[in-house]
Amino acid sequence: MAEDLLRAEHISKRFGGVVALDDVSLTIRAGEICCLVGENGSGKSTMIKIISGVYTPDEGDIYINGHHYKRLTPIEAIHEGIQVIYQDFSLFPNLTVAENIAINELLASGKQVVDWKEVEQIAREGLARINASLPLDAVVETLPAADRQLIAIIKALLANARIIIMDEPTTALTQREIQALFNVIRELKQRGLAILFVSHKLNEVMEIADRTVIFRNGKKVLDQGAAGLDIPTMAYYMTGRRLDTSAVTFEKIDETAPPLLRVEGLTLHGGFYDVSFELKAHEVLGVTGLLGSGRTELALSLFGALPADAGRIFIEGKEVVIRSITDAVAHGIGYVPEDRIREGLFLDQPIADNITVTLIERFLRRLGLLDLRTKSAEAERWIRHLEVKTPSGELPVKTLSGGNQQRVVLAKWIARSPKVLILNGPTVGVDVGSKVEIHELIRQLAHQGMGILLISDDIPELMQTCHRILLMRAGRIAREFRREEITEQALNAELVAAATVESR
Amino acid sequence: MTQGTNDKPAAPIRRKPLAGAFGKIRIGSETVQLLVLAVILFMFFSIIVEKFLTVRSITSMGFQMPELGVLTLAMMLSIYTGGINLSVNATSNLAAVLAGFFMVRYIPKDAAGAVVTLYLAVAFLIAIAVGWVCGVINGLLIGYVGVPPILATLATMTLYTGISVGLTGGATVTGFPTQLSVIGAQTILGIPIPFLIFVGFTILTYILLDRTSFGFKMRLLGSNPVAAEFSGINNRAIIMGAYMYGGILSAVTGILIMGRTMSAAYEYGATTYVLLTILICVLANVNPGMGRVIDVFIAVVILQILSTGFQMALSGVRGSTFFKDFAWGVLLVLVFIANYFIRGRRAQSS
Repeated sequence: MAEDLLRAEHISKRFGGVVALDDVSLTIRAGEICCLVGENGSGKSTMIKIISGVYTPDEGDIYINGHHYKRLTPIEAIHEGIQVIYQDFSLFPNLTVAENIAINELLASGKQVVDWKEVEQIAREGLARINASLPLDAVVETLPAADRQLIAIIKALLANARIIIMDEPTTALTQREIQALFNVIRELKQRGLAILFVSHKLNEVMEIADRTVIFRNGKKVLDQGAAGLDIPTMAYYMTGRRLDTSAVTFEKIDETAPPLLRVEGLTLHGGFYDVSFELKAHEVLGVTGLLGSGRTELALSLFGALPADAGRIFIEGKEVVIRSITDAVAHGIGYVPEDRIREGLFLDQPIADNITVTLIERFLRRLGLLDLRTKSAEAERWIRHLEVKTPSGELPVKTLSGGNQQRVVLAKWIARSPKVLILNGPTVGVDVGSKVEIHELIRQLAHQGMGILLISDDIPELMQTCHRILLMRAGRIAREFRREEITEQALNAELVAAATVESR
Repeated sequence: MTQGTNDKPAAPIRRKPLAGAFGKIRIGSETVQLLVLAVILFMFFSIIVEKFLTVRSITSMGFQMPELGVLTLAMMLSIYTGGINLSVNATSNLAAVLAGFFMVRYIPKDAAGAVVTLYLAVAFLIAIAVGWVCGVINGLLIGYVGVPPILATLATMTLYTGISVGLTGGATVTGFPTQLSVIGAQTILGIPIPFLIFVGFTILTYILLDRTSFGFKMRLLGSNPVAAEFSGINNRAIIMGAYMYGGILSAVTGILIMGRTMSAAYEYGATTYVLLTILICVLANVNPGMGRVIDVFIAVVILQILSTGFQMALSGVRGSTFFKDFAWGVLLVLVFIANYFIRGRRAQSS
């Protein structure tokens, strides 16, 4: 039996009237990867902050390496070997790799003059610990997220970490980078470190966990070895609902019908080349591929944000020219972007205005004035229809959680009833409950006759919503699969195979 | 990345409906604060300055504030859409100089009153057309060429001023028909005509911002230009529209200045007006995608009360005009501190 490094017992924590944690216990063992799973607001983050000394629990005891703490300070937590890697990695973006790795040691040494040889040596030593190779003089903000994460891990190791807590570590990573991260995590486990992997991505948890702990509404609802746990069971514990995805019915497509959208030889230099496909009414067409495979560029071209250099686009059989987003919108194309904060939402503006932005001309009355009553009624209708959880449509959209924000972005396009709706990563950063509802919504929209282009690297998502899936590789459509012809595992293998081809 | 504190709904703070001639008018806690500030300052000066609370001094304030007020509306539009417009005052003066040239050169000396009025109307149209063209140039540079607003309007400010200097040789254009002074010196029912013009443009701008799709798009564009573009808004056209309307408002200010001074020159207001319009927008809490026309109106009144109040209190004291600038500075600092306590606390607690 592995040694218990940390035991948090009967922890409760309240913020004002809100109970964040209610009598929760958590044990972390050496050489074990423990996955902490829960929806937004389930208490995961509060627990992390309690065991790293940021918050003081209202009730409960913490035992670390046999020491008993009623109140744990961040300094004590660090001395006990607890290191948290937050989503933003807490690095200095303007400093180099070597400086970032060495900075803690330099500060601790109290020297007034920087010895650059020493900096370099510390950095090399750190990189060697996880067999990583990074350019020491590269400025950190120019590195991909995966490399920044490695630096954060190295910093934790150099601080003599015994327990590494990773908060949603895969959010910014591609499929391939996630695999690389998992290898590092397994390596750390081999060396006897304890890993607390906090995530709501169940497929990742399935892959990496030795033990899975699930929180829901501030309570621990599950704590057991990973063997024998499957995704539906975890989703059930997480949401408290049975999310039945096996009985999904797919909309029948009239194969003889003319296509809604036809693309011929579409090319954007530096993005994608000679892309041709058809999308029919009622059809959900998946487009997958790694980051950099051209999938996002393809979507942006169809939406007019990055007009294509060559090729033809037909909508309902008629050739159309799409040189701008306004053109695309006029031809009945909608686009739900991947980066919803930057491209999808007006964070400070009311939820209602975020929804009605695409419809605003419809509320024009005499003298070109807006009918505000009809406008807010329309917004309310969509808030109800998509079950956006908010007390009022007049609140700024930034008050909503990720899943609800995404519903607002979806609403603004669905409200226009586009012929073709392009969804780019529609459930990225969205909790499981919302995710299932968004998938259901996609199927509903297909039922109503919309043609949907779904861009995603979430394989279960593709399998649960798409009729056909295009696999892109280095800017070209490499393969096309019908959903019936392929399994999740096979598709995953294809995607990983694409990764190895590209990395060569 | 979007989780955490976002889960808790914030207290509803944005808009309270207020019944009025236009149905719901957007007001907020800032409007109330500004109104209270205006009333306090008015009472303060009424008590400490003799003759402040007289028809004469209030009427004089009504004649003075419209120039700055209409110009501030132009500044507000640029800030509202995420930019800034340093060329507002240069536009006013160029519009006034060109309209002034027209009046001086083309109005016959012996023309009858009605004919002169007609000529004046043409002169006003010329001024507005000039303002419009100045706005179009700004809009082209900012919306289409992609020059940052502060640089684009710094350039056009110099350009427009340069044209005015070149045309006038630096001299003041005078010799306008006396009918022009109606704009600058007369009242209707005791209310100064310039003030009525200011109120008119305030209402027009309010309607434009809060009641039209153009205003709606300006707000969203100011809030997040990328998302605006991805929502199908034609950002270039909206920016062009905002600067065109700003150019027209600047030209109206030019006409008001002409009416008051019965002259036109490249340098009217040149040292203070641009900074003052920015100051008023800060006072009224105008930000990209945020801000209310009513708040700007009240802020203009506040600045005028301060300005007149200090002028009257310190008349005869040496350096009193400098003290006015000092007072505006103090006011701004106090507003920031007040905002810290009113809004900052709330932001920190959430």
